[in-house]
Amino acid sequence: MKTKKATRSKKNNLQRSDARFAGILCAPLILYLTLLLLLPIVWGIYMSFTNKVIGGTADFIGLANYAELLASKDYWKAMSKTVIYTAAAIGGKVVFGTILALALNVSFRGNGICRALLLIPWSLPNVVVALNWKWIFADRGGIMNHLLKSMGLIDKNLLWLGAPVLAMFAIVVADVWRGTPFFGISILGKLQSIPKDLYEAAEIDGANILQRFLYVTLPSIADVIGLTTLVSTIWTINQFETVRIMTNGGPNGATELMNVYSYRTALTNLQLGKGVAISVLCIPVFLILIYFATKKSLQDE
Amino acid sequence: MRYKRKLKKYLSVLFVLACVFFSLLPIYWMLNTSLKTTAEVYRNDPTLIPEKPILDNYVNLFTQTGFLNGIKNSLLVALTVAAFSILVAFPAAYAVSRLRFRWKKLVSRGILFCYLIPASVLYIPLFVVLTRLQLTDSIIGLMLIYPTATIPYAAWMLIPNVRAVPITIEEAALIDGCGRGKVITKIMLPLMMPSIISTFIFTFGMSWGEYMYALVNINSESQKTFPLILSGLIFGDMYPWGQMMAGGICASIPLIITYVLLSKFLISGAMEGGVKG
Repeated sequence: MKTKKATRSKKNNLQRSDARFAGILCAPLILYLTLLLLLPIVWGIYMSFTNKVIGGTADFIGLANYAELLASKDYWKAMSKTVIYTAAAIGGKVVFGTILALALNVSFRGNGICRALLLIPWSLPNVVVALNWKWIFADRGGIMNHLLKSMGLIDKNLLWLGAPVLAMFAIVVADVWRGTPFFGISILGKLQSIPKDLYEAAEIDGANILQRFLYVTLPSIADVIGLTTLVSTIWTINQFETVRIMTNGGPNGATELMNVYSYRTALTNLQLGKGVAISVLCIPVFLILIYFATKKSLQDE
Repeated sequence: MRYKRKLKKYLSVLFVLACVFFSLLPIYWMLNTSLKTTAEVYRNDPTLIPEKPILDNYVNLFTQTGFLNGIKNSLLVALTVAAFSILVAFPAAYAVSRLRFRWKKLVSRGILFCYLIPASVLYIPLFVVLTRLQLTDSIIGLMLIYPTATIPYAAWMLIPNVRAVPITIEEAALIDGCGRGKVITKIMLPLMMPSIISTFIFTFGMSWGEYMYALVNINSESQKTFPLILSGLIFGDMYPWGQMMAGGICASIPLIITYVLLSKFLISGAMEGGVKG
């Protein structure tokens, strides 16, 4: 009895010291993130209500930036381009990533090496990927035109990065190329944890390949696809370097995604306040995505 | 049935090989271009193998542009940021996964939330912060702001890895009278080394090729990181593709080698946290 009491009080002590110790361990992280992440965001939101320009003072102008944006054609164009780009890029990554994962899940010799090689695009710095594809799609000397010509699909060089639809296609291809391996490997991890007997049972019950995929595979990987898609959507909406380097938003705004537009407003036209307002308008979308992503990733806790 | 299974296997292998081919083709093209003369680069029908491979592009890149200095700056920034991030994130990750305290849930949710905050919301406020601190146009400024992305990321990756270490080891040490501090440095740290190293590599990779913050904040040639130097080569009528591709190869080779060699080990680490991309 006595010992039990002693253990309990010791445990309580341990808990109390736990809390203080946890505070010490977390303090640097909390301090840094508060000072350089949370406060700047709040400050940014405040800035979006001012007419702050680079090197100038800021006056509070209420919702003027927002009103201007919502009335501007450029803003809505950038938004629609962002939606198109994100939908196409995410769609590509999910579809190719899923097929890739299914294919990698079949065991064959050299599977491990293939997996390692497939990760290479994902390991490259984004700038390098953008330059690489800019060169592939170049109208003079670019290999894409040469390949299509030698296959007889086109007979004149296409201006890939100079035509609206083609430029959008090119930046989507660059992003899908870099992002697919990550989707593939994430989904593969989950595929490998599906118990084999589930498939055997389905097979005995007479399920064909398609049915096995629909009723066994898909439900088991739906979660990981959902989470990867949510997280990847956040990064894809915020794509900047690929576009900035490959097309710089051109031709004539055809690939000017939200972030490139915000950059042009804030740093080329020096209107910092309005530039922030563009990103702030997107915060609700991010919050919704973050909410679902958080919910999904904390599910197993 | 057996025939079907074989068919499935052949199709899978075929698809995987096609994917490997398309993954490597652009990189091969980058390497190929980097070894050609400008005349050969701009030829009407590109040569699939350089006629006479030359290293001029590499030599020119290193001697005539600020690339070497850019690499040095990127290296300094990425190493500092990765080390600092882990130093800050690891103790917090330990606290969140092992200790009982009231704000635990809030802290772990906060970390995930911060990790998912995109740079677009932050780049202008951070630019203003650096202006106030008179740290724009200096790599020190970049070192100060990159951890906004890497600290939450590192913490988020380390949390499941701390949890994966069996708690019994620590309990035994605690009962033997070992303090919490000692448990962390003497027991957890060595056991966690593999995941700390892979987190370090990913964190390094995030700041190594970072472009947006650098573009916004850096102007002077001496402070530019390599992404700015390489993208700065895009001007005029005839882009120096050979040099740019040489730069791409130089900046990627260290990462490619690391990823391929450590792929098994990195994959399991990455899947715990999920990587920006």
